[in-house]
Amino acid sequence: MAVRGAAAVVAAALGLTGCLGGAPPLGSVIDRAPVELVGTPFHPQTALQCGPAALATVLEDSGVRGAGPEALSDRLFLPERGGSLQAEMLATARHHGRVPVRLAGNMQAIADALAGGDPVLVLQNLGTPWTPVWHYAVVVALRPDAETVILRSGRERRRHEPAADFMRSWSLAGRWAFVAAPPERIPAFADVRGWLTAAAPAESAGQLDLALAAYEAAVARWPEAALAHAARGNALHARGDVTAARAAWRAALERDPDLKAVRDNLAATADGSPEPTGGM
Amino acid sequence: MQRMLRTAVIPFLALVFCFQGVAAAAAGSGVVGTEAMLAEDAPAADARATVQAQLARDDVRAQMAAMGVDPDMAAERVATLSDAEVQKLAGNIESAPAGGDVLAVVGIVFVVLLILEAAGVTDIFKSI
Repeated sequence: MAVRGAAAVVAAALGLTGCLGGAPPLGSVIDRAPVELVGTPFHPQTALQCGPAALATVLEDSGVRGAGPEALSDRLFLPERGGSLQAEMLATARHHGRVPVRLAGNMQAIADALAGGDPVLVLQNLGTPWTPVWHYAVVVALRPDAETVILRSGRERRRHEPAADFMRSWSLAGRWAFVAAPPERIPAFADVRGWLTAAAPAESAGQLDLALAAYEAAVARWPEAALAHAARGNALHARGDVTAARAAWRAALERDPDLKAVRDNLAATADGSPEPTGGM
Repeated sequence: MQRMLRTAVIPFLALVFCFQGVAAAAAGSGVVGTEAMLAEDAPAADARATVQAQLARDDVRAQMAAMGVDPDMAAERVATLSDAEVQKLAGNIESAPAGGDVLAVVGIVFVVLLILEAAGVTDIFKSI
C-alpha cells in the first residue's frame, strides 16, 4: 500500500518535471554550437583515477608531454579519500607549466572555451547533494541539436551525456571548470583578473618562470591594465631583479595611481636614491 | 582542539617573529605579492600571516600523509600550493570534493533529484 502511494508520488513528480521547468534546453543557454574538439586525446581511467586521467587529457592537449595519468597520480591521488582534490588539480597543472584558467559557472563559458579550441575539465557530482559522487571529466563538445554534451569520461572516449544530466551534475559540483593554457597563450575568453588570478599562485609557490611568462603575456594583451604591470613587477622582484620590478610597478601606477599595494612595494624596495616620480 | 591551539599559539609565534627582526616575513621583504593584491580583503604580508600559512602547510602535509600519501611526496605536493590554497584546504581536506569514481547514476538518486527539482526545493539551473 505504502509502496503504491510512493509510486504515485514519484509518478506525479515525474509528470510535473515535464511542465515545471528543470534544465533549460541547451540551445537556449548558449549562443553557438562549437565544433567538436576531435583532436583532444583520451586517457581511459583506472579505478578512482579520473582526476589524473582528466588532467592528463587537457595537459597533453595543450602540448605537455610525459604527463600521463600514472605520472600525475603521485601528485593527485589521495588514497583515503579515493580521489583527487580540486586544489591539487590546479596546482599540478601549474607544476607542468600550464595556467589553469577557471571558467564562469555557465554553459556559455564552456561554449566560449571550446570555440577557442580548449577542452574543458569539469567536476561533476553524479550523486546527490547529501551523498556526492565526485567525478572529473573533459568536455569536448556541446550539441544543442541532440541535447547532449560530449565528454572524455571514465572509460568512454565519446560519452554522449544528456545535456540536462550534465547541467545537473555540474551544478551540484559548484559548476567548477577550468582550461589548461600555456602561459604565453591567453584563452580568448579570459579577462585580465581571471588570468592573473590563475597565474598568481605560481608566483606564491615560487614557480617564477611560469608566473612571469603569464604576466608578460598579460601586459602584451592588456597593456593598459595596471594590475598586469603590477603582477609583472612582483614576479621580477621575486626573481631578484629589483630595478626591472620597480620600473614595472611605476608603469602600474601610471595607469592606476590608487594601487596602494604597488606604492607600498615601491616604498619597501626604495634604496634611498631619488624617485623619478615627476609626473605622478 | 586544533583551532584552540591555533588561536593561542599564533599570536605568541607572531610576537616571537617580531622580536626575531621579522625573520620570516623578511623572506618577502615586505613586498605584497600578486595573490594578495588580487584578494579582496587587503593583503597581510606580516609575520602573523606568515606563521598562519606555515601552520596550515604543516597541517595539510600531516593530513595528506595520514591519508596514505608518501610523506616526502606530501611535502612536495604541499609546496606546489600557494599560501591561500593551503589555508583554504587546511581543516577541509576530509570534506572537500575528491573526484574519483564514475558511476552510473542510480535510478533512485535520479528520481530523488527530479522530485526536488519539480518541487522547487533546488534551484540548481538558475543562470546556467
